[in-house]
Amino acid sequence: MATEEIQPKPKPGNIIPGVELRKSLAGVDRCRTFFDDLKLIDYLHSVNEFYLDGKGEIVGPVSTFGAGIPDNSENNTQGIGLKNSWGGLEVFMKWSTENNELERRIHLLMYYETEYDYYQLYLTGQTTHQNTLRNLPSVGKSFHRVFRINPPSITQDEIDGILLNFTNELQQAGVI
Amino acid sequence: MNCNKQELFNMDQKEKKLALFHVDTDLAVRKPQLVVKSIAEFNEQVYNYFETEKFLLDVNNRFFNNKGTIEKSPYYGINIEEGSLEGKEKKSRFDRFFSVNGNLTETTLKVSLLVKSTDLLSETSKPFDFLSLIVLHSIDTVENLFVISVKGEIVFIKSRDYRGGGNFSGDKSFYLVNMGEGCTLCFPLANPPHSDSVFPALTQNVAEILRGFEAQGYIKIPEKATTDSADMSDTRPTKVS
Repeated sequence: MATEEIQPKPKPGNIIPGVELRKSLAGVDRCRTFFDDLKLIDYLHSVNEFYLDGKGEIVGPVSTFGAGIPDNSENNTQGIGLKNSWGGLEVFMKWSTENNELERRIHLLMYYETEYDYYQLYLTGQTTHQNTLRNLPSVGKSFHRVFRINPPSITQDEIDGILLNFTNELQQAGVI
Repeated sequence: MNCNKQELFNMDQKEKKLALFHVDTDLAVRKPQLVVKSIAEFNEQVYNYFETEKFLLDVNNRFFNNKGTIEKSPYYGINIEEGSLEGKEKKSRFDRFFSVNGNLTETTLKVSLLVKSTDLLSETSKPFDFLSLIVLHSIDTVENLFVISVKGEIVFIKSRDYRGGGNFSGDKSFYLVNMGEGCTLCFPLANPPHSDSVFPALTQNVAEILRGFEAQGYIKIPEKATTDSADMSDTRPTKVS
């Protein structure tokens, strides 16, 4: 591993500002507007109240964006935020059994991809068996549904339908 | 912001031991070329260590009549956060761009077995485009975990013109692109798994996932896949060059 002198950072952030970064942040903002207009976080609040007796902890919404650099063959001169950058929002709810052995989560992630101009909504339900004994693996089972959605043509009714269907699947999978 | 030094494990093939090497996050962010090569090499070693190719070839043989193709895509993920503007006076909308921070959070090797539905369709199948079976090997440097997961996905492709017109007229308001199930094993980095312990678990999970797809009417599992227990040593998968 080559060692190199790293110059002290003259600015707060360590990501090189660039066009891709701007696109990613713009994606975050688009998704935030969508989340807020449709009050999507309320879905988790209701599930929490009616299925979990309020025991769930809701985290987010958190802005999420970034680009993984695929492989060494790319001429990566920019730094981070390369082609196909995306930006979005994630919110999730988690809750555990009293002894922390079983943790369950519901994730809602939405992102906007600038290059190809689309939004995707990821819905995930998962159950993880932690292992309280040291050095044993924790085992998680999950299922996911991914939708391409088109604001503004998608209606609240349609989003609600997607989420209600997902709720049914969460029940069937034993997540709630 | 997390500390700059992130540790990654190097695999010593001969002794099946792990040796540490360091990746500086600052370096990873500013000069990714230098880091990507090391990580790509590391991921290759992970792939060999866990005998993933053998695993997928066997799955391909047992469940898909060898019709699937294997694709590898190594990458590393840098978790990016909007930075805090503490100690700085807010000046303009540009502040935001200058304060974004990144941390190297994971390195992942993703290997997919992709099978077109046309190679699988039977009379009772529901339509879809392809099935992918993904094995992910990740080092999560935030939670200090080694993560191996297997995901099965049913994928529906809707082709769309590249950024045509800029509006959505003519597009459906939403559609399902992907549905799937997965199983994840997480190990503490201090005690990474051996392939012998991982293989059987993955095999069982794949069988479960595929049986789930069969129950939903998407695929039919060939008889030979269900006739024996998950004993990998019996099979002699053909090598794909």
